[in-house]
This record gives sequence, structure tokens and C-alpha cells, in this order.
Amino acid sequence: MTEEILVTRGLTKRYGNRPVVDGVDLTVKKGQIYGLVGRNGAGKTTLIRMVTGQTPPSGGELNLFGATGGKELSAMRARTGVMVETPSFYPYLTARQNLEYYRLQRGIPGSQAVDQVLEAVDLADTGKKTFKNFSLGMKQRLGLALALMNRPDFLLLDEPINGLDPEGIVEFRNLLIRLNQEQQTTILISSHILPELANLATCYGFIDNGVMLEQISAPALQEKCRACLEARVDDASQATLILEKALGVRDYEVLPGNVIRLYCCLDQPQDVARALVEGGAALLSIESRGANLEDYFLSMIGGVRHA
Amino acid sequence: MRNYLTAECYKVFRRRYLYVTLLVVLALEGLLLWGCWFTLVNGNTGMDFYSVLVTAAAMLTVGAYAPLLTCDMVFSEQYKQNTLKNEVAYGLTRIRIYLGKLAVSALVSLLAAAVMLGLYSAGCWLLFPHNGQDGTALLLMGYCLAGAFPLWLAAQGVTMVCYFLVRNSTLAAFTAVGLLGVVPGILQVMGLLVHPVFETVRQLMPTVMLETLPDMAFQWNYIGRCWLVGLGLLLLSIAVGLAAFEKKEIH
Repeated sequence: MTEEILVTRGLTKRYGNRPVVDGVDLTVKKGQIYGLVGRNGAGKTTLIRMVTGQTPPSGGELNLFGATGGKELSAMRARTGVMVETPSFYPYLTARQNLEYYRLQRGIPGSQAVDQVLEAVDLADTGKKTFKNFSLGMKQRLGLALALMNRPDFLLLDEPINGLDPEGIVEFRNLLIRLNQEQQTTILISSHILPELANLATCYGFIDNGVMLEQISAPALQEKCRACLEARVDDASQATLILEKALGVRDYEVLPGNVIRLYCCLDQPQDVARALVEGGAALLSIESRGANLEDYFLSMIGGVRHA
Repeated sequence: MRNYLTAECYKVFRRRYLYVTLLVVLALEGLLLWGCWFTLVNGNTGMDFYSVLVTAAAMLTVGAYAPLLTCDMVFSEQYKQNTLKNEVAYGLTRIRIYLGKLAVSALVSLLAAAVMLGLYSAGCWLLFPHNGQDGTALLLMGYCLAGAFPLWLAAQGVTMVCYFLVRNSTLAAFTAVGLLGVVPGILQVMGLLVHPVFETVRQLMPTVMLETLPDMAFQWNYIGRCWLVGLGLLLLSIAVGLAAFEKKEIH
């Protein structure tokens, strides 16, 4: 069985009577890149903060590397690398001094650990420039450097590509993929930039209004979002026979309500319609379908809202 | 804990803030010494090693407010910069974070006090004439420092609670000044107007005890009371601070 890195059961955070995270069940398995998808205020950051110990939960269970509470859970947090919201450092220290401070604090042996991560995020040449003079992109990269410094088994990244330029985004994506593939680092990443998540994630969790709507693997999501022609007819069994005979169609599925999804003939809707009509089937509608992550998420939360 | 203390020292000793503050205080100290020396060379025969050194004993109360600066240096506006999340998210316990910062701020205070008192004493020794009262002056200073030390620690504890629990550093400093400096005044008024018990409580406030200390020269039971009150207040402040910090949300 694949090792479970993070499991939450009924995890809840309330402020007064208002639930911000409401009974979330989430499972992140070893080796996954878990994309946490949700619009602003959906509860993503609060959920991550509970995992990192910044916010005490109001209810539910949290299991990190098998530890559920107390000192054991605190100890397991040392196996994580975290970047929540905007990276925060001491403004009067340089990149190297900031990381050296955290290296000493965490008892990470050898100051070369600092040099290695600064090199990895392309901040090795910032010299005496202090953190307060960094651009947003540099701050993000320093945040990532801190998250990576202890060679974590599990990376928790909340909106990590905010402020990165296009080149930086590509480098960042490649770095995460490399960490995941070469060092088997498990990653939980939340982002508004859904196409970017689609390039990375192997599993998704969709959250809205503090509620986990669905957890789905990337292949399963791909299957759900597969491009097709969707025909609504009066008799699906008759229509499929017509299509098999007339067009040799084999790759299709029949859905409830006499809906047929054809995964071939995508650029021949006229031929499909003609075949059905000539074969004597009543064609009620026919349209091209197919969704990306963004469309899928929007359909899930029920309409076009800011994602 | 050793790693935590090392890191805090690494951070605080790289702050220009520490050295600039120390330089300003030393400059003021130099000004005081120069003023005394100036009156000496202009005919004030009362200025000797004893009289100038024991002037420092009258300024022990200042030490109760020094934590406003040293706690600020160590705490480093954690809530404004949001840096506490880096520590908590790594699994460092809040007890370690709290005690670590308190210990390092106390260490910085102690080192600063040692530098200031050392230089002041050396200045007195070099600039002013000596007489048979030198030994008494040194004994009196030793007595005062023995009583002041636990009271300064208490002030350090009270100030650190304020920095940990009040998100705004300026407001935290004002709260600390209020607790250390204003509350005794209120207690004094209440002691006069409401009930004498308030005056008794006032006599146990660190700043009041520091003011009283030079007048209680060589009354060793008073030193005992200073240690009892100082350590008691320090432990109380740690308990209150930790209990509240454990529940605090870190952004």
C-alpha cells in the first residue's frame, strides 16, 4: 500500500460560528503532486495553516507521516518544507544571512546547505542586498529556498508562483518535477493559476466554501475532461447501432438520458448527424464537448466565478 | 534549544540597531561623566570616585526599561514581518520559541549592562580622585546589582509577554511601559484613596523596588525580597505568555 503522507478527517476550522474549513477529508500519498484548487477564500490557506501548525483546528483529525498530535506531530513537521502565502524573512538580513539563521535554528549541518539552495533558486549572486530590497520574484525564490533547505519529504506550497516571471515559472515547475521524480518528494501545491497546476499535479482536490468537493487523480480527471461529440437522441441503442454500421464508430459511451459520447469523429459532426437522421434516429442535439481543469472546476462550483 | 539560541544570537548580533543603541547610551554615559569631571576641574571638590559611582545606583530603574529595546531587537517585529510562521511550520515548539527569545533578550540586556557599567566604572576610576570610600562605593554597587538583577529579569519577562501578545511592536512597548511604569502610579493613588493594600502591592512592583534599593543599603533581607519578587514575577510572566502564545494564530 502506498504510504500516506498527509491524511485529514473531518478537519474543521471555525471563527466564531463561521466555518472556514468544514469537515475536510484529504489524503496525500507518497510521491504525489497534489493540486489544491479553490477560489479566493475557499479555505485553501487555512487548511494548509492547520497542517503547518500555524492555526489550531477547531475539530477533526490530522495525521502527518503517521503522527496525530503533540510533540510527535511537531517532530514530523521538520520533515516538511513550507511556503505559505508571501515569503517572510528579516528585512535587514541578506538572502544568505536569512537562510544561515534558519539553518542554525534548525540544526542543519554544514553551511554548504545554504549555498546549494541559493544556487538552486538562482539567488547565489545577491551579495549584500538585503531582503527588503528584493523584488517579489526574488522573495518567492528565497521562500522556496527555505522550504527546500532541510531536503523535505513533503513540500507544502501555497500560491508559490505568485510574482514569478514566465521564465521563473518554467524553472520553478521544472524544479518541482525534478524534486518529485528524483527525490520522491511529495508535494501539495495550491494555486490560482490552474493551467500551471495542470502541468504539474498528479492528483487534485477541489475545495469551495471550506468544503472538499472532490479528490480525483489526474488520469481520472483527464478521462472526465476528454474531448468528445455529445449527441442527444430519442433512442440511444438504436442510434449506436446506426453509427456503428454507417461510420464504424467503436469508441463511445452511452450516458443516462439517451446521451451518446463519441470520442472519434470529433471534426465530423455533420457526418454523424447525417448518419443518424438517414438511419431514422431522432437527433435532438449534437455538440462538441471537452473541458480543461479550469472548466471542470468552474462547472463543479456551479458557474463562472473568479478562480 | 542550543540551536535556537545560537540562531537568535546570530541574528541579533548582526543588527546595526544593537550597536547604534549601545553607542547612543554610551555617549550619554560619557556626557554624564564629562559633566561630573567638568564640575570637578572647576572647583567642585565633592566629586570623587565614590559620589560619581553611586550615581549609577540611583539609575537602576532605567535598567527595567532597557528590555523595551532588547526585546524589540530579538523579537524583531515578528508579527509585522510574519517570520514566526517559518519557525512554527518547521515544528519548533512554541515553548522553545518563547523561552529562546526571552533567554537571548536577557543575555543581550546582561551584556549591554556589563559593557555600560564596566565602562562607567572604569571612567569613574580614571577621572575622579580616590579616597577611603572607594571600597564602600564598590560594595554598594555590588549590593544594588545583586538586588537589581532579578528585578531586571522580571521586567524582561513582563516586556517579552507584551511583545509576544500584542501584534504591534509600538503598542507592545507602550503596554510594557504602562505595566512597569504607570501601574505603580495608579496603585499609589489607589493606596491613598481606596485602601492601603494597594500601596503594599505597589511596594512589590519591580520599578518601585529598584528605586528603593539604594536606600536599603546592606539590608540583605531586602535583597532576598528582590529575588523572591523578581523570580516570582518572571515565572508568572512566562506562564501567562506561554499560555496565550500557545493559542495564538500565526499568520
